Amino acid sequence: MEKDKLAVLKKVLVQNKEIDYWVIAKIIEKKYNLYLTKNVQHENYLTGMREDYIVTVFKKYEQELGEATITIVDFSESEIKKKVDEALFAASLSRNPFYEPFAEKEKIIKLNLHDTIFDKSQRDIQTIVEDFSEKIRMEVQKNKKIKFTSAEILTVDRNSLLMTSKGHELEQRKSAVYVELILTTMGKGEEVEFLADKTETTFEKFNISDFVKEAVETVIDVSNAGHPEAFTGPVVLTNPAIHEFFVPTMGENPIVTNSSARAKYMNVSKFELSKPIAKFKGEKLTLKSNALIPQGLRSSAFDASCVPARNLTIVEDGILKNLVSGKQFADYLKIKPTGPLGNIQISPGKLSADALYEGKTPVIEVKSFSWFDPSPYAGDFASEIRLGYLIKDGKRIPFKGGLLVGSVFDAIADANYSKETVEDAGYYGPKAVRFNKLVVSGL
Amino acid sequence: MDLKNRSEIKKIFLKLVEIMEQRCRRADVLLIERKELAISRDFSTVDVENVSERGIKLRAYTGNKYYETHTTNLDEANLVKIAEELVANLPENKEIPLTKDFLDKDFSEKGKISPDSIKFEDKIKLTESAVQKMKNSNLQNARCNYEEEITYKAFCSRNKFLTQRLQRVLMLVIPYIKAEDGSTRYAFEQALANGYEATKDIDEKIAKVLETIEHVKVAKRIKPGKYTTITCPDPTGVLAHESFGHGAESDTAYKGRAKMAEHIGDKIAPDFVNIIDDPSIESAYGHYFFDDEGEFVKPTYMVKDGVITDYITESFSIERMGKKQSANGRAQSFDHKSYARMSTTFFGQGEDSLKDMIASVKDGIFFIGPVGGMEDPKGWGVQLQRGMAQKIKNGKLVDEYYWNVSVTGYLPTILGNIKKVSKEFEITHASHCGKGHKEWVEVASGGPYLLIENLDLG
Repeated sequence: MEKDKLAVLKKVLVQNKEIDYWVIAKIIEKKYNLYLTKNVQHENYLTGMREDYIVTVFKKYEQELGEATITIVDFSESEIKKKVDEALFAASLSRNPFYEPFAEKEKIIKLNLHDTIFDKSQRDIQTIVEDFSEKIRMEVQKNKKIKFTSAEILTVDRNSLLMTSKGHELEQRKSAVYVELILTTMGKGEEVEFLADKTETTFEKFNISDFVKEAVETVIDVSNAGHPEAFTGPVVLTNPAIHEFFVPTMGENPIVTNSSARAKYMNVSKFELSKPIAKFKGEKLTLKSNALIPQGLRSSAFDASCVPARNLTIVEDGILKNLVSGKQFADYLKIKPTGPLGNIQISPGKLSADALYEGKTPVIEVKSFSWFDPSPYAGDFASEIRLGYLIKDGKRIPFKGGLLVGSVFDAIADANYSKETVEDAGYYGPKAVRFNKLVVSGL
Repeated sequence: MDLKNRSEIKKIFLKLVEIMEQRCRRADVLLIERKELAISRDFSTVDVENVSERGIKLRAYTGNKYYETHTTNLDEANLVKIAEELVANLPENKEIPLTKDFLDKDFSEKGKISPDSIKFEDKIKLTESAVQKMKNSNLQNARCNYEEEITYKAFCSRNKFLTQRLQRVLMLVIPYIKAEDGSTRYAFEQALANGYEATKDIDEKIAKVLETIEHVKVAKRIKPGKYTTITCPDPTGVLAHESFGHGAESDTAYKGRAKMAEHIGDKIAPDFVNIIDDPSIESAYGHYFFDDEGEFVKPTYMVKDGVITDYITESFSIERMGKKQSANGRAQSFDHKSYARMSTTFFGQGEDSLKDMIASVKDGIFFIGPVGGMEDPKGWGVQLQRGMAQKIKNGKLVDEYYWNVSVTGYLPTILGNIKKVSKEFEITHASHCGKGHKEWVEVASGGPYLLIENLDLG
């Protein structure tokens, strides 16, 4: 039956002589979620499967290419024909300069991005998720002053199939295990909390002990945190703040955004190939997009145009080396498409993480932001600090609140990176970075 | 299942509820079908997506937990199978309550002009024309997005079968501007309605956003510090949203994650401050007739006359908290859990005039927006970020602009420092709100202009 849906869809697309190119993306997504509320009560077990069929049709018009994307939810041949005709009509009115929509067929590297636990029966997977949550609870329980407030364990097993008029038939299975853990403890006269979250591709990769230890240490520091005073000077970002800086939770960092071929074509990027991306005074940044890391959270073997993944140097020693490009904008700019944007790798520095705090002046360390959300092209930010430290006279004094104010491009221009590295949810790079001059607004 | 046949959906859904309630205390079924047309055009390219999703979620509540499943396969036999499987391991329920009154209601949001009545080519032309109008300006690029969303929902429990059709049209215009420092900044204006009439003001929106270009170009970073600030309806709304708001979500409070739980009945702001969530405002992006748990909409006052009052709720937490349920149980889609979520959240209208408010400020900031924000319901921290602002000097707005301005602070201090609330009032902000960084639902926010003293800006 499943095969029939694809077969019917493909038949309609092949038979329609008005269509010059087409691509079908079939995505099957299975979830096994467990939600824990107060007193570690199980509030909700959520399981289920969704199946989506997304079709893009293309029509050539001399120097132009019309395209439109639809989804198919009714699989009778007549309904599919009707939807495809509507898409063709939409494509006739949404024309772009011509480009070849798909890459040439070539061998695609098979990436291991999937947890074999998801091959088990639903009952078995549910048991594994429950055991996993119990391990988290027990790990938290080791700390008598810490309360397990709530948690969510969300898992997804996604299978994507791409089929094109050019004969590509590419499949990729990828899983993810996400944990959101809320811990509370008594602070200065009142309870305080910390939300820790982490995603890995497999249960095995998820180190519960380290995750809980980090969350416990953080919530204890939050409980002792005061408010910051106004500060201008060196600021060290440690994980997860450094991860947020280079791989924000939403969107991409302004370095990657300005490096995209689309931004270049739109005339909104300020970067030039082979030119420095900032006025460097300190260590020069090297930033790569590597979609080929096994079990990498942002790994992917191919993109929507069937362009294979690669390890791409975007910025090397501060110079823009390559634009990140899908097929469309690569053709427009006459460059080679780079495949999917992957894990962000930042080259380590020369100093130890401890050395980044050295100097005569006090240093601010930012451990966690409320939400680091810089302006996508300009790179300006003013982000609230959820946990930071003032390092002064040999003391590390925690604080909460205030804004870290600056620009991503000014910050990286005068920076030093640690030689120790960390790997966290698509970020592979230094454990700490020192920006030599940023502003913290006081409260 | 024939989705055009409402009585067939009802029949099948009641059957599924009956199957599940053989082994649970309460069961419900929710169908969500969402169709979206998105046209996105800039100076050089255009993208068209006409996508939809359709699926059903089934929930069985045992009295201490929910078991929930979902599917996109709407064959009756498959639905019966997954309903049976969902409750297969639960003990038999011997006390199925009798259904006395059965409610069957259908709601439809039509708007003034149905987007279905407008030809696709006219929608395409509209975006072309909008971009063309912005081409006349000295911009790096400009984008116009036309988004239309039609959602059909059917909810069924043992005593209710409810259906609703919701319709939203949103237009965005975004000019990209080269700032004096060479970087690209942008501004935007949005027009929204529950019908195609949203598009009628687009020329006015374009003119308004183009007027701001020169301000955005020269705007500076603000010197971090405390300012007497007048917030425009956009940041006012985001402040309501991020405070009470997220801070008043019953599931968060039940977990012990909301400071509000310790302060119900406490005075937190002056008498003239009210914060309200109201899903019944038809013209707003956060509008619906019933929530994803079958509750009918009505306004909730989270702060009334300056006092902390009610939660916005979903069923699991509110049953345990023993409070009344509001219609705020919402799920991102059929494959997501329902949480307590906002709809249209705003500060209540005041009595001051904006003109007088500005005139009363000797040295301060007019915080224009638009902004995003982040909640901190346990710590009562507030963060609003990425807004435009303008200087107020000697009671007048002057030509000095600030870019990427953020607000931080402690909620009781901020609310306690509200000195004036304007009679001018607008629901402006249409967006998608996450719980943390996930579970996105459509929300709106807005309100009056607020005069707040000693607001921390940076």
